[in-house]
Amino acid sequence: MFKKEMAFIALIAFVTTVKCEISIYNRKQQQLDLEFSDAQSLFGADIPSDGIKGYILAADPEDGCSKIESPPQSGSWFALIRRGNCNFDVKVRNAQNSNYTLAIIFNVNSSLIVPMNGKNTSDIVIPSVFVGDSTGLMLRDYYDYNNGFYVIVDNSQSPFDINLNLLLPFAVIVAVCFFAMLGFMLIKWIKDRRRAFRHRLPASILRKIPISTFVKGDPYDTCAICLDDYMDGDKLRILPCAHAYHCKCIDPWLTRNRRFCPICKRRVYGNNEDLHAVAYSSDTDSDEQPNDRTPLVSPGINNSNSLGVSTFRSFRGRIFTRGRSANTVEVHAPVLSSINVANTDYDTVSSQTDSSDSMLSDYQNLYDPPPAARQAVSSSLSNSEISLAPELMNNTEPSRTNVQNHIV
Amino acid sequence: MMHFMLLFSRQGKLRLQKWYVAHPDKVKKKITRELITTILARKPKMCSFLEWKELKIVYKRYASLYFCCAIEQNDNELLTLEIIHRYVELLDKYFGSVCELDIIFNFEKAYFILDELLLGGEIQETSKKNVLKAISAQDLLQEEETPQTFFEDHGLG
Repeated sequence: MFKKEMAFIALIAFVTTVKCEISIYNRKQQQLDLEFSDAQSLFGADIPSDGIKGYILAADPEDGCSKIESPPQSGSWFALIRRGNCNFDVKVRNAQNSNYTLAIIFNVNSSLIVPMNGKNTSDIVIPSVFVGDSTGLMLRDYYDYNNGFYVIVDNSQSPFDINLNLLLPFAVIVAVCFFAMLGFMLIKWIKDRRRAFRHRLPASILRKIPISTFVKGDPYDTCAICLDDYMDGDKLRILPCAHAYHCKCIDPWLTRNRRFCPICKRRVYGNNEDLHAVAYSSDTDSDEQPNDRTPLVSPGINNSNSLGVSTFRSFRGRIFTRGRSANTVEVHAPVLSSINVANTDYDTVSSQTDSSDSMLSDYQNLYDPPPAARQAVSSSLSNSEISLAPELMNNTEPSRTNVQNHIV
Repeated sequence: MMHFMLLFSRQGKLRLQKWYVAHPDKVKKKITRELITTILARKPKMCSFLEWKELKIVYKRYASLYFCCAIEQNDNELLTLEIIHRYVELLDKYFGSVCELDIIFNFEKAYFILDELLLGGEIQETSKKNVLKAISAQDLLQEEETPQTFFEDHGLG
């Protein structure tokens, strides 16, 4: 922990300091005991690259501001001086005057290592280094001359030495992030794939969607995908929503993209596929989703149409069969009556117009009928002042495949 | 007394609304929006009754449609559920296996049936038979009248 802290501080001080290393050796066993980092001062001589070897001796006035007591014998001695009370250069000069070869000055109450500076330092020839608080106390208390240690202060000039203490956690974090991202992307990819798969139309169902050969007079004229007009003999795929496309245009769309009609966005399902399970299941992924065709009351309750009124389905069916067989809509009483009813009642329900309007527009968007049928309807009614009627008829028109199934 | 009845789809689209108390349109819209979001957020197993302001809301889901009624504190919720169910039965009987689309395209019929069943927020006719009889009589009247008026409108009569 301590070493790590030191290394971290040294890393911070890189920019401004020349990093040095204080290595402590056991005098008896000649082996390395501990290393501290320090900062060389900006004045005095440089530390030689192979380092200076010497013994540590705590200065006698601890702050070294007055004359320091000389070392007990000749040799290489390092004076350990506390920071404070006077300038660095005074301390170092005192150490030099007392025949020390190096001055180690330690910080007080701070582990920060700063390079020392001073004025009028031309007379100082010995090198000096600065160490942190804890380092200084440790050197003084455990590693001084009396305890049988010697010290090598060397000038390690490799500022970019790779520090495993920092590199390892960094590598771990990067690796964790990388694997987390990899896992996330994998999950997303799988989810996307599954979703895409679910949205596609299986080939087995595609085969059940009717193909018809185009002959002149069919109510379709242009393929909305390739924008080509249909020619006699073209194979058309007619989707359940009554929109037609070239087989070669729509099939890749359905099998590789989405299983809905590109024009009206209605889901495409096979003739005998379970409508309830398929229709609109894309939104909420539940197995049995009721849609707007699901009977409100499940069958089993007596639902015979005893009154014989025109229900929605038969109403649709009537319009459809006429419009399709003769290509024009003959105006027959039942149809008209329904239209007219709707028209006359429109006033009575006008308080609810907002809801009904939105409903109408909804379903107009949803069921865009083939233009031929629409024209026929509107032309036959163009003279009438029934404004709502074409709309209603249009609305009822395009669900005819369903109706057909129902009727048949 | 019932204050209003709303029919809306699972997608939150309002299908029918009937108000038995007067509110400005803005307030109606606000209430509708609030109730739809509240009810759609509820789980299937949750209670069909909820207290809402000084009213009680009774709702029931039939397939894709939610039927939602607001009643006063001293009204009976179970009775309201019964009214809702009766209305659904009526619709079912009239349309024959009614679905949401039936109500969308024949909303006026749905309103007529509701008007026969409820008046001023109170039940007025409990007999299904009588309601359907009245509606079919109405239909008959329309079928008789409309062609003539249509042709008269065009100067053919």
